[in-house]
Amino acid sequence: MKKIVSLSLFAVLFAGCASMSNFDQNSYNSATELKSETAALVAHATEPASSHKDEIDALRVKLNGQLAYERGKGDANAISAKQWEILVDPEGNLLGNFLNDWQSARKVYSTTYVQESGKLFNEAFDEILKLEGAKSRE
Amino acid sequence: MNIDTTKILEQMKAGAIDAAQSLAEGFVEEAEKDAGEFIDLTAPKIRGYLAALRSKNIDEDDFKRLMLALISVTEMKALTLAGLAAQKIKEIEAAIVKSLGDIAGGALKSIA
Repeated sequence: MKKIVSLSLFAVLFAGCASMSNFDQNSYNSATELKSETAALVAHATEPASSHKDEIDALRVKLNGQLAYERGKGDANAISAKQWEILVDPEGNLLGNFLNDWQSARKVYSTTYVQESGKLFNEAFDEILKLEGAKSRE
Repeated sequence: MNIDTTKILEQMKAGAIDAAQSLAEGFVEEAEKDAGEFIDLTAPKIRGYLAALRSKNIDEDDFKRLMLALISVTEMKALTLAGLAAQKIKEIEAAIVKSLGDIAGGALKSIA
């Protein structure tokens, strides 16, 4: 219950100082496509990254491009942009870091780790899609 | 011309409160339910990671990474809730402005 209250409090505090951009069909479509591409690529992450170099590079370019697009909408889109930052950050804990470590061969991923990571990436994209989908269409 | 400003102000106040209440109603409960369901789903995940660690399907580094990733997804969930709250505030603001506009417009017509 304490955690729920903390989450709700965080939400109210953040919402209190944030305005909201309107729904963006391009953002929604891009997130949907990137979610699918990520799932398809991550499923191969038990294999050497060298076998998927082009796909990893292409996905990273698209993710960074989307982050720049979301940031470019300005303060009204700060919450969505922050979500993309968390997902894409190469020094973070999600997809950006996963791709970096896979490609730098610092890590050989086990099947279970890849499966569980893939589920978390899916959930992260779902949060982005949920927020974008709830924005005003006026 | 006799203009009852007290009555107009009372109407505006009541209209603003009605507009805010009708839109805010249910939002907190919905947000709490959403957050609660999310938290409820994290416990089985952590248990699954621990079971995978015990059975050596993942190593300690993998376990740590999954836990950190889970925390980041939780942060994203909190941001979603923040965004939904901000969206609701935006709708309430618009509804209040419309309500006040309608009442002020009505008062002006009665004067004319």
